[in-house]
Amino acid sequence: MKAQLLFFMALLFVGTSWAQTQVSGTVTDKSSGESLPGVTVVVDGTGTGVFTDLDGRFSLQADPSSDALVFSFVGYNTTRIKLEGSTTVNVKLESGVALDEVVVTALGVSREKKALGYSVQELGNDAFTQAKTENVVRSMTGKIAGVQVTSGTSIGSSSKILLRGASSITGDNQPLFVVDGVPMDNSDYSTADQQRSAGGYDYGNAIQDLNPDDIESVSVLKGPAAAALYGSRASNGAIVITTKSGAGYQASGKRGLGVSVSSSVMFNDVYVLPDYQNSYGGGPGTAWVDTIGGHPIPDYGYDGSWGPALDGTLVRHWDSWYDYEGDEDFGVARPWAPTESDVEEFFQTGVTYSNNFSVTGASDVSSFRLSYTNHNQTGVYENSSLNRNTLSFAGANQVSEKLKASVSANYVQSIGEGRPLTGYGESVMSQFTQWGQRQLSMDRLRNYMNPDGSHRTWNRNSVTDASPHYWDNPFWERYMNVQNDQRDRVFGNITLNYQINDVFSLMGRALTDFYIDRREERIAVGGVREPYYSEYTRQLQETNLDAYLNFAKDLNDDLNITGFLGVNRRIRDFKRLGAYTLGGLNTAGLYTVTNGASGYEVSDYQDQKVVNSVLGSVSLGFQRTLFLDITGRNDWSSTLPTENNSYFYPSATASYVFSEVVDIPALSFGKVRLGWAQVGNDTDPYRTGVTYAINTNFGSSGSATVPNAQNNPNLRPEITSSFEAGVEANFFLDRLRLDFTYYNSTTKDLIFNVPVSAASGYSSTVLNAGETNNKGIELALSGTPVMTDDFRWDIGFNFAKNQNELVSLADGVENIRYTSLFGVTLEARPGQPLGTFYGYDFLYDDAGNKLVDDDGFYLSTDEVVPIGTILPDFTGGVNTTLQYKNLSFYALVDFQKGGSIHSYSNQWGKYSGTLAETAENNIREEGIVVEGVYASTGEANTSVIGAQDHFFANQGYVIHAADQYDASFVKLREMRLDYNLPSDMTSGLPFSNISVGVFGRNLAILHKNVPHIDPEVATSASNVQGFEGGQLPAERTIGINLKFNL
Amino acid sequence: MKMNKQLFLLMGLIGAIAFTGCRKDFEEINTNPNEPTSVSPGFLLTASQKRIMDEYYDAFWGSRRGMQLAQYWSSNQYSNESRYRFRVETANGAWRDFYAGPLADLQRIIDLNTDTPEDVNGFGSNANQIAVAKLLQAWTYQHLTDAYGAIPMSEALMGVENTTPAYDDQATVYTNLLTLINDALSGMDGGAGPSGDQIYGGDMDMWTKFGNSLKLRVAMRMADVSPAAAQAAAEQALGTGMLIVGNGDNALFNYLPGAPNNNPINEDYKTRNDFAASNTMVDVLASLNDPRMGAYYAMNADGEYVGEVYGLDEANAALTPNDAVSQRAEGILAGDFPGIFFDAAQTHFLAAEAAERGWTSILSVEEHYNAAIGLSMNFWGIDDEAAIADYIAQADVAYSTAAGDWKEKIGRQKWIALYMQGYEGWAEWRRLDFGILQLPADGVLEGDGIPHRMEYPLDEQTLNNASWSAGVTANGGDALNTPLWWDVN
Repeated sequence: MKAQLLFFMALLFVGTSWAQTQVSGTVTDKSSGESLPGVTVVVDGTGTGVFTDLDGRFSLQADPSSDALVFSFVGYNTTRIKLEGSTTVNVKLESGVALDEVVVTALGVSREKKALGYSVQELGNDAFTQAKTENVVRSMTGKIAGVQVTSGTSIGSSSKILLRGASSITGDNQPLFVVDGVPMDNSDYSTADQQRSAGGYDYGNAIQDLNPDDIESVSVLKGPAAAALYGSRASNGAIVITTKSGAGYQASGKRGLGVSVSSSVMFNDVYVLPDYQNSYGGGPGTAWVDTIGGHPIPDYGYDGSWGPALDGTLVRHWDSWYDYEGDEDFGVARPWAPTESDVEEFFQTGVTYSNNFSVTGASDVSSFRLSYTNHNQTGVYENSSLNRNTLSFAGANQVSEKLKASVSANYVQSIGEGRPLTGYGESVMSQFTQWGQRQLSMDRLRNYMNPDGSHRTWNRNSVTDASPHYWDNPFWERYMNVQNDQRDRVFGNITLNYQINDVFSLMGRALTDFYIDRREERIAVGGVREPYYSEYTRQLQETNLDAYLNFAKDLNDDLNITGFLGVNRRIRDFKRLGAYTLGGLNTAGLYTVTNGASGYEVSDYQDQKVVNSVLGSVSLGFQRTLFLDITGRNDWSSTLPTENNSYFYPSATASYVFSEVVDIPALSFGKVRLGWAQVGNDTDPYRTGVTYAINTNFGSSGSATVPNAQNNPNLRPEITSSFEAGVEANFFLDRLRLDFTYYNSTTKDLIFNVPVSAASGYSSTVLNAGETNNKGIELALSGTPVMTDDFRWDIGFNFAKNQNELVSLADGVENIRYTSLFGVTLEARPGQPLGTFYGYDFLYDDAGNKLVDDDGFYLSTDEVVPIGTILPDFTGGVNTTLQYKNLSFYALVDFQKGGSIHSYSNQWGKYSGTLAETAENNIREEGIVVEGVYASTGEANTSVIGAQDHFFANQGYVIHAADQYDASFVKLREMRLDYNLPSDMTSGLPFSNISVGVFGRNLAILHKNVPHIDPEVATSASNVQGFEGGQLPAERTIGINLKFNL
Repeated sequence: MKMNKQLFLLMGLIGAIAFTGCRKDFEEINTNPNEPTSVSPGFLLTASQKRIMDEYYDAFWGSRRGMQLAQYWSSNQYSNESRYRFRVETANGAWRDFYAGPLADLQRIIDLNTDTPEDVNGFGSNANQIAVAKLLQAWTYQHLTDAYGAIPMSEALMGVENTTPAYDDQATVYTNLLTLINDALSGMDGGAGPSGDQIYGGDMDMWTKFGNSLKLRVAMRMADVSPAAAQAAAEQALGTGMLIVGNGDNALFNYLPGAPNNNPINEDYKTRNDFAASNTMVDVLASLNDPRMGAYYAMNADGEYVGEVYGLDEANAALTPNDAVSQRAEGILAGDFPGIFFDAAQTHFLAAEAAERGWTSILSVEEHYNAAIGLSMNFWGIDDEAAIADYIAQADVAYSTAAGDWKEKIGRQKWIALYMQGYEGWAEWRRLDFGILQLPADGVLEGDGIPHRMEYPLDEQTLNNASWSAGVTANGGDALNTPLWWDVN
C-alpha cells in the first residue's frame, strides 16, 4: 500500500521541503459520513500531495503555521483549509459537480488549473447524463461562457457549437473535438440546400456518436492559446473529452469489480407551434369552385387558405370522393368548419429509453472499464426512430516498473429511420404553415392509402383527378418515403508510456477514428415528386501517430520546468460512393438503384490529406506563483502547394497567482493570465490544381465542363493570431468565484471560395483573401450565497459578448456570399460581421415612418442593404443549484440577445393565409391601412388595400426586411430534481450509490421576438445559419433517471 | 543495460511509426483522383452545346420568362411571372449558367487550341475548333445582350485576372458580335470539324451556313440604329449564298428521350404542369385557320382549341380548370424535342426584310416570305403543299394583302413561326412592333406594360457593383421598361 502511494507521489508530484512537520487527518463525505478514499490532499502552493487511504486517512508534510491544505476529489467541491497551527485536520467534503483543481489541457496533459495562462472551463459527467439528449453537444448549451450552441429540433438533428464567434469563412468554425486524445470527425455532410433550409434530411453532426454515459469530464479550451498544440483544426478552440476508465477506481484503492447501472426514460413533445387562423379554409378566394349535387366544392388543389369562411356550410371535402368498398365518407357532405383534429394531432409523444451498464475493475497493476449503452428513441414524428448501441473498453496495465500500456476501444452503431424532412418546400410544416388549408383534419389524413394502394391526399387536382397537385398527404410521407441510415464507428488508441528516469519519459501512441456511414433515401411511386431512390456510403478514417519525449525537473528550489518535444503524423482518408435512380422507378416498392426507370447515376469521390508536424512545449514554474508556457508547432500539409506548405506557429502564455504574494482581504485566490498564440490553417485537398468535371455521357459522346470554382496554385496557409488576458478571483473562502477573460483574435490570409461575378467565367475562385477579427469578453461568475450543514445554494452566471468583423478582403473582391434563398443573401462584407443578411428594406422618412406609394403599398429600397446579422450581440446563462441533504434541484436559463433570422414560415404563412394575423380584425372583409406616410405627400397613409394584396406585396417576398426577425430569446433550458438515497437506507442491499432524478429540457421559451416559431434555427452545423424554412417544431423533453452501483 | 536496449528499441519503433513515409510525395497525395487534368475539347463542346439549350429552355429562365414574354404560353396557377414579377434567383442562375457554364467551356476550347495546339489537334483542326466555339459564343452573347442590354463581353471570361469585368454598352457588343462571327468564318480551314459536335456532327459547311445566318440576324437587329454597318454585314452574309435555307440545315440540339439528357421542358413536366396555351397565340392561329395549331397545342376536354387568358392573377388562374383550356402539345413535351439554335424559316424572314429595305437579297420579299412560312409548316410536321398554299393565299396572310406595314406583316408571321423560341419572338416583337401581344388581363405587377428587357441579376449588384453601376448608366437604366439600344420606336 505504502509503496503504491510513494510511487504515485514520485510520478505526479515533485516535492520540495520547507519547515515541515507531519500533518494528518481524515476526510469524509458530508452527507453520508462515509470515509472517502482516494481524495487528493495537496499542500496549497506546492506540488506536495497524497491520496487518502481506504479509511479516508492521510498524512503528509506541511508547515502548520503558514500552509493550507486543499482537498479535491471527483464529484465533490474542492475545499481549502488553512492549517493555522493545527497538525490534525478532519474534513467533510460535499458533493458538487465542479472539477477545478486539475484540468485536462491540450494533448490530454493534466495541468493544475492555476498554472494555466488561458481560459479553461470544465463540465463533469452530470452535465451530460442527468438530462440526456441524443446529441452530446446540446448538453453544453448555456453552461459555459462564450459557448454558443444552436440546435435543430428534430430527432438526431445537428447542433452547431461556436466558441468565441466565427473566424473562418469556409470550414464550419467548429472547435476540434478530442476524445481521449483521438481527434474526432464531426462532419455533417449537409448539402447546400439543407444548410439554407431549402430541403433535405438533417442527419446531424457526427460527434453525436459520443455516448454521454462514458464521459468523465469535458474541458473547453476556448482560444488558440489553449489549443495551439492541437494544430490547425483547433484554431476555433478545442473540446477535450476524457472518458471514464478504471484509473480513478484503482486510485481510490478499490480492487476487484464494480458495476454501475444508469437508466433513463424520456418523453418528447412538440411545444412551439404557429398561431393559426381558424376562420377561413383552403382556396384562392371566397368563391366555391363548383356546386355538385347541391353542395359547394372547395378548391382542393390550391395550397393556401384564402378560401371561404369556415361557417359550417355542408360541402364535399377532399375525402368524400373515394369510391371504394367500405368507404363511409364517399358522397357525404360535411360542415366546412374549423377542424377538431388540428396540426398538433399530427405529432405523437416520442419516447426514449437509455440504459447504460458498466463494469470497472482494478488490480494492483491494471485497471479497466467496460461499458455498454443502448439508446432507443422514437420521435415525435410517427414512424421515426434513432437507435444507438455503444460498447466501450478502456484498459491500462503497468507492464513493468517503467513501462505502462493503455488501450481504449469504442464501437458505436447508430441506426436512424424515418427522420423528418426539413426546410422550405419539403418539411411537413411547409404544408401546415407555409402552404396549406386550415380546415384539414389530421385524423382523417391518417388514412393515407386506399385499398388499392393509391395515394389519398387533401391536395387532389380536382373532383375527378385524385392525384396530388403539389403536396403529398403528410402521413404518406411518413410511411412511404422513409429514409434510413446507419453509421458504424470505431475509435480508440493504443498508448505506451516509458519512464526513462526521473526527468524523462517517452510516450508513443497510435489513434484512429474510423466510420462507415450509409444513407438511403427514397420517394415512393404515387406521390407528387418523381419516384427516386438513392444510397450514399461514406467511409472516413483518420489516423494519428504520435511520439513525445516528456521531461519534468526542478532546476532549483524556486524553479521547475516541464515540457515535451514530439512528432505527429496525421492521415485522413475519405471515400464516398453514391448512386441514385433517374427518371423514376420501374417497379413500385422496390428500392434499389437498378430499378431506375431511366437507369441510374453513380457519384464517386475520394480524397486524402496528410499533415506531418513537429511540436514542443516548455513550461516554467517559479515559486509556484508565476508560470510561463511556451509552445511551438510546425506543420507540413499536403493540401498546400509543395513550394509553400510549411508553416510555423508559436504561443506564449503566462499566469501569476498574485494571491500568494499579496494579501487582499476576502480574496482567497487570485490570478491574472496573459497569453498570445498563433495557429496556422491549411485547406481542403485538391484546391491547387486545374481539373475538369465529368458529366454523364450524352448518348455515346463524352461530356466534360470547366468547373465553376477556379483553383489556385499559389495558396498560402491562413494564420490566426490571438491575444488573451484574464483574471480569476475567488472571494470569501471560495464562496464567490469570478473568471473574466478578454480576447482579441485576428485571422489573416483566409482561404475560401470567393463567389465572383460569373461574367469572369467562374462563379467562385479559391483565394487567400481577407482578414477577420473577433474580440470580446467572457465572464463566469458563481457563488454560494447560503451554505449550512444541511442546505447549500449555488448560483452561476455566464456571459459572453463577441464582436466579429470582416476587416478586409483581397483586391477586386467586394464581398463573399454564403448562400441565398428567395432573394435574401447571407454575406460577408468588409466592415460587417461574418454572416450578414442582405435584402431590400422599407423606405423611411426622416422621422422613421415607413413610406407607401399612392396605392398604400410599402415602398422598398432599390438596392439591397444589410438587414441583420446571424451572430448574436451576447449570450449567456444563469444556473442555480439548491441542495438540501440528499435532495438537489438544478435549473438553467439561457439567453441570447441579437442575431437575426429570416423566417420563411412567417413569410409564406402570411402569403398563403394560414397564420392568425391574416384573419384578425376583419382584415379579409375590410382590408387594411398600413402604418406609414405617402412618399409623394408625406401625409399619413389612408389607402385601404385588400388582405391578400397586403400579404403578397408588403412582406418578405417583395420587401425582404419584412420577414427578417431578431433572434433574441430567453429559454428555460433545463430543470432537474435529484435524490441520492442515503447510504443507511440501502446498507442491507447489494446496491449502493442509488440516485433517482426527474428532469426536463427545453421547457419554455420565456421571451422571443419572432412570432410563430422558435428563434433557435439550425438545419446543419455549417456556417450557413439563420435561414428558417418550414422549421420543424421545437420539442420539450421530460424524463426520469435511475442510477446505482452494484 | 537490458533496460537501455528496451528503451532504444521502443524509441526506434516509435520513431519509425511517426516518420513512416514522412514527406512522401505530397504532390501525389494532393492530385485529385476524381477529376481529370485534361480532356478532349470534344467533351467540352458537347457539354457547352447542351448547357446553352438547357438554360434557354430552363423552367424559370426559358418557360416562365421567355415563353411568356412572347406570350406563347400562359400560366396555369402561379402567374406572377406572366405579370412580370420575376423571381430574383432566376436571373442570378441564368447569368451564372451562361457565363460560368458554356461561355467558359467554349473559351477553354479556344484557349486550348491557341495555347497548346498540338495537344488537341486530334479532335478536329485547331482553326475549326476555334471557329465553332466562337460562333456558339456569339450566339450566346447575342441572347444575353438582347435580354439585358449592356453586358460584360470584352473583359469577360478572364477568371481570376478580372473578377469584376466592365460592361460593354450594347452598340459595342453588337460590333464585337460581328467581329467574332467574321473571325470564325474567315478562320475556318479545310481540316476536320470538331469532334463532340451534337449539332452538325463536325460538318464545317453547315457551320458556315450557321455563321452567315447568325450574322444576318445580328445585322438585322441593328438595322434601325446602325443602318450602314447592318447593311454591309447583311449583304455580305446573303452574298455568300451559304445560309440555313432548308430544314435540313437547321441548327438543332438533339436532346435524347431520357434523363439526364432530355429536354428540360420534358423533365419539368414530369412533376409540374404550370403552363397552358396562351389565348394571344390561339386566337391568332384560329383567325388564320393555321394548320400549326395542332402541333403547338392540344385540344381541351371539349375537343376545341381554347387559349388560357394571358396574365390572369393567381386566384383567377387557379379558377380556370386545366381541362377547359388547351394544354401544350404532346410533341413539344417529349424528351427529345430539340433545342432550336437557328431554323430556316428565320433566315428567310430576315432575307425578306433585307429585300424590303432595299438591300441586296437573294429572292424577292414575297418569295422569301412564302418560303419562310412553308419551311415553318414543314418543320412542324405539315407537309401538305396544297394546304400550305391555301393558307398563304388567305387575305390576312398573303404578303400583298395582309394588314399593316411591312414590319407588321413580316413580324406577325415570324412571331407565329418562332413558337418555342420565346426570347427570339420577344426580341422581334420589340424590334418590329407588330402589336398582337396584350397586356396581362389582371394587370401588370411590376413596371409599366410589357417589359423591354430583363433586370440585371442581383448577384452582379453585390459581386460586381462598380462595373454593374457603370453598366446601368451605359444602358440607360436597369428597369424592365428601359428600351435597349436597338429597340427604337
